[in-house]
Amino acid sequence: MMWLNSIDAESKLIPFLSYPVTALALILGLAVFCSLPARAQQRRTRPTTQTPGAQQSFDQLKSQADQAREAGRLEEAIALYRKAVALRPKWVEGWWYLATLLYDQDQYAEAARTFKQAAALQPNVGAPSVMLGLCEFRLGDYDNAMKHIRQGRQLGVGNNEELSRVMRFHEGLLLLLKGDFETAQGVFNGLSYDNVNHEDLIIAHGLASLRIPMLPAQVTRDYRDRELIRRAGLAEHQAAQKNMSDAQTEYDRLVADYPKSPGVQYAYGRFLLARRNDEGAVAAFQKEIENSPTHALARLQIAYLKLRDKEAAAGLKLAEEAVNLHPRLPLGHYILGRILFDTGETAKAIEELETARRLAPNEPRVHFALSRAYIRAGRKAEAEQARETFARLNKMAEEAAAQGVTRGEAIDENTEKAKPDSPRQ
Amino acid sequence: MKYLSFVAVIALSLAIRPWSMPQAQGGSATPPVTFMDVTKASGITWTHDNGRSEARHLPETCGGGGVFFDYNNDGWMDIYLVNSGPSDFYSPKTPIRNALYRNNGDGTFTDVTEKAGVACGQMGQFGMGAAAADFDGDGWVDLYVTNYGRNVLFHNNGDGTFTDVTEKAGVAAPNWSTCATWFDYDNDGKLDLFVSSFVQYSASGNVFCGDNRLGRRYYCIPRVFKPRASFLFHNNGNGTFTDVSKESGIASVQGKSFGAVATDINNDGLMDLFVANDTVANFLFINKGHGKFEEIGLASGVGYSEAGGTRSGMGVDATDYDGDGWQDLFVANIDQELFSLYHNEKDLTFTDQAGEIGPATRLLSGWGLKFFDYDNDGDPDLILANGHPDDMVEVQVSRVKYKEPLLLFENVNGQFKNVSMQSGEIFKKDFPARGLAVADIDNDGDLDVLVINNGAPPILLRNEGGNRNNWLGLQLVAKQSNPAAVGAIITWTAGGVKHSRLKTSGGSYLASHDPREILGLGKAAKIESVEIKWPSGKVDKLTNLPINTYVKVIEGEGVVKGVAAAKVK
Repeated sequence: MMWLNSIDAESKLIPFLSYPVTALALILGLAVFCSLPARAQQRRTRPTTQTPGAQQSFDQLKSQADQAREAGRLEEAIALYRKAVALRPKWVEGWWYLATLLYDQDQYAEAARTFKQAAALQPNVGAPSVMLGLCEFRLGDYDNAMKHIRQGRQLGVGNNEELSRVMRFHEGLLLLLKGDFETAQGVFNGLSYDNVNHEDLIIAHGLASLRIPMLPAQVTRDYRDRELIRRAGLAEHQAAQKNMSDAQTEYDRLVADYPKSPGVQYAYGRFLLARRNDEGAVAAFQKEIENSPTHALARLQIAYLKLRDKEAAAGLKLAEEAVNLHPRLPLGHYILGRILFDTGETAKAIEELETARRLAPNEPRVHFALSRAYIRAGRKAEAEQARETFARLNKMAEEAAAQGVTRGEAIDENTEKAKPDSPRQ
Repeated sequence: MKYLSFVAVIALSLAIRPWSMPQAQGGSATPPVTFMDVTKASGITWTHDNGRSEARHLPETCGGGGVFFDYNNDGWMDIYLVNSGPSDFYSPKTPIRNALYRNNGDGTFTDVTEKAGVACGQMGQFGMGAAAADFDGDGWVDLYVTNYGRNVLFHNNGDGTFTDVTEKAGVAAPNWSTCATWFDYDNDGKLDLFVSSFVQYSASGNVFCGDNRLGRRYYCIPRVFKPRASFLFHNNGNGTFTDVSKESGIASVQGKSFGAVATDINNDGLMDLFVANDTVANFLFINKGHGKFEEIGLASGVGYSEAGGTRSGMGVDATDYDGDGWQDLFVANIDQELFSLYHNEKDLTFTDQAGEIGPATRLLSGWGLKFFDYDNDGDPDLILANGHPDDMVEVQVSRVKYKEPLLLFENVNGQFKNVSMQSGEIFKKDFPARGLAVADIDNDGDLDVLVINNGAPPILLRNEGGNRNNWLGLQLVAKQSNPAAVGAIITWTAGGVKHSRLKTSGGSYLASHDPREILGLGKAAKIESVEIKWPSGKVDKLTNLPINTYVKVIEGEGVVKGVAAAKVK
């Protein structure tokens, strides 16, 4: 309980999602300025050719707008910044103050247009795109929100850790909504590991681990499964912070209190896998299959462990069941294909792996498995092509991982890769 | 003169049997070969200091290593042990040094480090491992020490002392080196040097990995550090080397390299290199001739796991374990990744046929390892030294331990059977093992083992009963080929059974081994023939050989006259 209290207490200290106006403006202003290329900074400080009267008018507006902002007269500040940027459309700082003030006034549509303007002025700076994405997130335009947040992440947001965390958290939420729970969990794990302690993050962890595509804001105080989601999230949060003993305790209590709730045993099994407790994990996955008879991933987890431990035949039935239950799941065809390969059924293996390739053409592992199968089948040219595709996609995946979010996998075939910011465990 | 002393030593050792040699038991059941911990009796008191700090600098957990070599040509294998040392992240409170132990021939060793001048312990010499070889062909084995900082090449002066010739030789390979391997890649008769580079590292560049909540640090996965290219140095034959890393193709790929073994995977007479990488695909550098290597790890099937992922490769070795005439490969990985025994499919591809080794190593992390015929039945067996790199691992995961057991596998018709539990009490204990080297320390014809532990004393294991089978030891003396005869192919027939062995170089982790070759004869009472195909192309066919003794074979001249008969006695 002390731990729960401490999280609640700490959450009040960290302005995670709702920044005070001046704080956000300051942070973003600083972020933008620090992120500007030197040439852009020079441009920012060098006024364009204007008449003395226009210059005086602009300087007055700027001064008045700054004073109004600093005094907390936000509506007045917004109006003055609007006039100032109209007078000097390339005034980057002005667009920024205007956009962030609009954002903090919950005027997301206009804020989005303003950030877009700022982004156009600074095509090599990530923060405007990120903020544009955050506006779109607020407006429910999730596809564009994802596009712009990722664009901003790739460009970089300088050394602004707070903005970086907000960006990562929202990217995680968007992944959660898309149903990419594994990648979302990776993002949330990274935030927890960075010692972010916030109720929304814990709820997000819970949603991802229980594979519920909702936003934390939707898990209201009176939401039916809130307690279950929160406790699962807390266990995941603790695990991500390397507090394994508390995480184990939390999970043990969770499965005791909610032994039949869908998703709980699967999440527990995943946790036990990370703790190298394979036997416990298999037992949990089996319970999940009892609780959720159509759970394909629980079957694939067990099948994969058999495959990994060179007992491929023992995983065949489960993999086949998973494929039948969820024929559009590329992972199922991939695991089944590899099991068939290991049991000597090369032709069938190729069939399954080619299906996996159709469903997930950019998955390097599928091409790798196919190259091995083609070699055994004597199809050298296809093997060579598959190998080249693997090398290309693998390189792209490594480069993408180096830039930011690592794509999560339901089956962690590389235990070290599964935890991008963690030590060896 | 050197040869006479060698013969005298062997004769003496066989006559007085300084370490009690178990005799074959009567009855039908043959007792298993075992390994006994003789560290205490040996007089070796040196302990590895890993310099472990709160900051958990990665080099702390990667050492140390050790070497068997006969530095004074007295016919007995001496031991060199590599410690940590001063660096940009470590200032030892008391001096730390490497140690050279002279084998007294009676089961004990004497520390001769100071006289020899091989203590290291200077700034920039945070030690990893070493590799011994006579790089200048003067008949005295030299020593190359790898460090986090700057490597050191010690020239053996032949009088019990060594001289640091690193600068003149040009082989410092700064930053962080791990394993080193002497081999002759261009068959010019001189030993060249491959040096594995690990990650780009500096104290200021250390990354926080651990428990942010408690501020407690663990050792990072090497993935968070940048890779580096390894080094290949060509021996110019005048005491200097040329860095040919770029033009040879070795530097065309960046890795995080640990173990390396020189072997010939395609039987073309050119030595190739298999290099383990941590969180990067393993490298298989195929020697294309004319000083060029091509990296074929992916295409050959040894680069990635069966799932297409990179692993944490650490120790490696090569041998022809199934007697089909083609070199197979082995790599040890971190827990959950299983170790791989790569069978050579004779077309530049390999398939992982680990068999029993896979499941047995699921929870283990392997470093030092060696194929060696510990029971002299003629085929290569395998010993594995293990230990998790992170001392905090038990806080995070269940079932995986920091200290781990050694494992011994016997080769039974090409299948490796786990015989650890019947091979001595030592296999029931756990160690933070890193380097592993093998040698016949008591010249009794079976191979003993040295394990170097991280932050703990080493263990010296005496083989008890390996010489119940018959054997013949060869000391190869090259004239035209490289001084270590790396790349020589030894073929022998005993009891109608033909065996073959390629003399590889390197292997294991941070270690090098007894350069002599012990040919296991099993129960055969005689050895019908031995053929040595030297890297130069010369072939020596030997007959009428004695057994259960060592003989010296000179390239192009065969066994030194009169020696074999003397040894039979």
